[in-house]
Amino acid sequence: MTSIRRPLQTAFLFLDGLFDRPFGPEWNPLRQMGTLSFYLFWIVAVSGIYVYILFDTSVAGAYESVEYMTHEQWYLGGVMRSLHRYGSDAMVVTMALHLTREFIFDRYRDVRWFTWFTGVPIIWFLYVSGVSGYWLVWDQLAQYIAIASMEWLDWLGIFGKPVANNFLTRGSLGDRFFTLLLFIHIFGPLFLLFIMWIHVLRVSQPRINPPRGLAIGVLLMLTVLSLAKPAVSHPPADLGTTPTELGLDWFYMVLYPAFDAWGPGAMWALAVGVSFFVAALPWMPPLKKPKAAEVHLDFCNGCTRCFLDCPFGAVTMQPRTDGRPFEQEAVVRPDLCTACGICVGACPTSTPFRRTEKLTTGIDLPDFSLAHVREITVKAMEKARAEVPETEPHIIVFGCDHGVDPPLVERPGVRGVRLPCISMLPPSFIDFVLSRGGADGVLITGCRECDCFNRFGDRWMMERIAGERDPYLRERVPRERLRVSWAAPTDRAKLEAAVERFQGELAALPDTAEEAPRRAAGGA
Amino acid sequence: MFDLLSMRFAGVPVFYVVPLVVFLPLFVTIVWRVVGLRDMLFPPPEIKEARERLKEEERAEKARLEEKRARAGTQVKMRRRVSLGPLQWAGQAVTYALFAVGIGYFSNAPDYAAMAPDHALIKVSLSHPGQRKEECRKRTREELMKLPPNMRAPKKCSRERWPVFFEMELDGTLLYRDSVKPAGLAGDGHSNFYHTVAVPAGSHSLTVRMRDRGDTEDFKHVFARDVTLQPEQILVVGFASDTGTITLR
Repeated sequence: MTSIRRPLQTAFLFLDGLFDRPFGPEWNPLRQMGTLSFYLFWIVAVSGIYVYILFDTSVAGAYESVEYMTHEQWYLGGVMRSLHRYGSDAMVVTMALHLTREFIFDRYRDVRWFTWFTGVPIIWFLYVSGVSGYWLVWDQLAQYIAIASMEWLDWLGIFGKPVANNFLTRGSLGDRFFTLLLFIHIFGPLFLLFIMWIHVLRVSQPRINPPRGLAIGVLLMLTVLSLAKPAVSHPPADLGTTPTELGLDWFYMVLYPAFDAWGPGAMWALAVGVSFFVAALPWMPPLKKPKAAEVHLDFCNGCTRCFLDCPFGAVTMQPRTDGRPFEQEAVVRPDLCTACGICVGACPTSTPFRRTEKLTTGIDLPDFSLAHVREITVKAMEKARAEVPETEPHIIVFGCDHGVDPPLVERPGVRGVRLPCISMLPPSFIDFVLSRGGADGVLITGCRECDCFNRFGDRWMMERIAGERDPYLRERVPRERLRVSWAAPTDRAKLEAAVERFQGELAALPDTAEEAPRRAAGGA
Repeated sequence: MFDLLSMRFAGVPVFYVVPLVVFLPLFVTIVWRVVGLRDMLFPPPEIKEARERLKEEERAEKARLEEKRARAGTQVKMRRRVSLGPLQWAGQAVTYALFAVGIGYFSNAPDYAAMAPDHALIKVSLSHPGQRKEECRKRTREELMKLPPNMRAPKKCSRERWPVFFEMELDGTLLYRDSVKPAGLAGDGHSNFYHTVAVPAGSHSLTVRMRDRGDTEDFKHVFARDVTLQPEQILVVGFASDTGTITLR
């Protein structure tokens, strides 16, 4: 599976970079496909309510009422109808890209299985909602897809008589059945919304609204498109003849030609087979999961920082159980923990300055402990110092498992330390490296901005450095010796250039050479 | 006679307006009162004061952070906000335009030929119960007496029916042949046929045969007729159970 994902990741990262230029990381639509899907749902819902007000729910009047809003009231009814259509089309695109992106970046397994799994019914309900909307126009396209849809359902043999018989001859279709179609189009989206709610239910701090600039841009785009190319109907349906040439909405009807060619049985096999396959993806192949974080109550004061920072809601707070004079204690739910280490970076006791026999913190990763982080950091500092003369700048690069591998940008005087997530690094480590004379500069890297594998790693790190989030980076840390350069695995050249530039800037700092004797003496 | 459906006002059918009249006040009330548009536009004094207080607190917090950052002499930029120059705006406009063109085009193009324009469609749609596998027989008096009074039906009939066999030929060529089992778990329902087949338009000789028993090879119902089919026409082959004849519509 990884071999499938790797080249696709490269392609997506290239596109991300391309979109970053005009939009910036926050507005980049490729990183907002989920929020855009929600947003488009609301556009479609609001425009649909207006269209419904003008819509005549009888077989005889449906087509005329749609024609009225399209041509007579084009300035509002027509625009609303077009927004309704194009918004739902765009939702298919955003949903498909969202699904593809999460798969390609491996964000569907482990604790994310629930979100992925509940995404499958969303696909079904989106298609039910979209296709049923096309029935209601009751033009030739509606006639074609309504009959094909009913023939597809009839293949199951669960109805007493074939439902397609309702479309057999002129006069077969009654208002009662047509109203049923309308109900499908109303309840389909309601169920869709319900499943969308379930979809994000277990996501900690979910985002369902796109950035305002992007939202305005999308609405503007759909409105301009609605005015430039209003959605129109085919000729009215006639059950005495069969339509031949049709302008399909390929976003919703891409499978109908396949239905004509292969028949209902094959299409059921395809639809159900693909759904089961996609739903089962989180469990294949099995994921080697690192051990979940552990709370060490002796060092936990119940400050709630790990609880607030955990991107997967794996940490909860409960009343104290050990009798110590704190109100609460942190508890880890192993089934929700990805062992990203963000909680370790958030813990106030995670400091490398402590001179205890064994470095222990309030919450730690059994497979990648804070003591281990200090050990590899100290080793990196020693190596960097040993490689080049003390008068030349030394840099420690802290990176993560999902960005450029820090050792890849190593050069004389530059050493890398890789963590599960960059936010596992407590800010005190930056202070430790610089104040102990281990290096002249610290460079922080990780996944690209707004694209952290662990959702909030880049954000939490920046807020900690800026003093906006606990634990703060101490004010005594000279900011001119700290750089941040976010870099995806494909951005190695960019990170190398950033390292080189930083080395040059550090060399130009007046006190770098002055500090050399202190560094040589082994710090403070 | 008061006919709302055909009434028009200024050329617009009144029934278009009725939902507006009914739902618009409801919608406005909900948005105004429940969603809270009223409080947003004309907030009561206590909400105004609370908002001012909040704004003041936010301003103070922002100033505190700014001061802290300035004191720290930070050179580490927070989240990279792209300064949107003309080039970036143009880039966004191009991206939106490309997306819009894609959505606009594929929402109804390219055309799909669902059927050749010189063809017609024959639909077989019929629902007919096969004969019972065992004939009904009259219950004897003794049998009737053994049954509870409310279940003393004079005849005993098996529930299971034969499948219905159907075949259709056009100009001597077999178009469709199928044997459909009765619906229902007990196999006692109707056999339902629904099948469509596209054929070239023009004059044809159509032959339809059907039998509703499995213990004979003879067709009980045979229908043959010359038909002329127009392009795109739909011809429905059915069965009228009341007259026991195969029908064309």
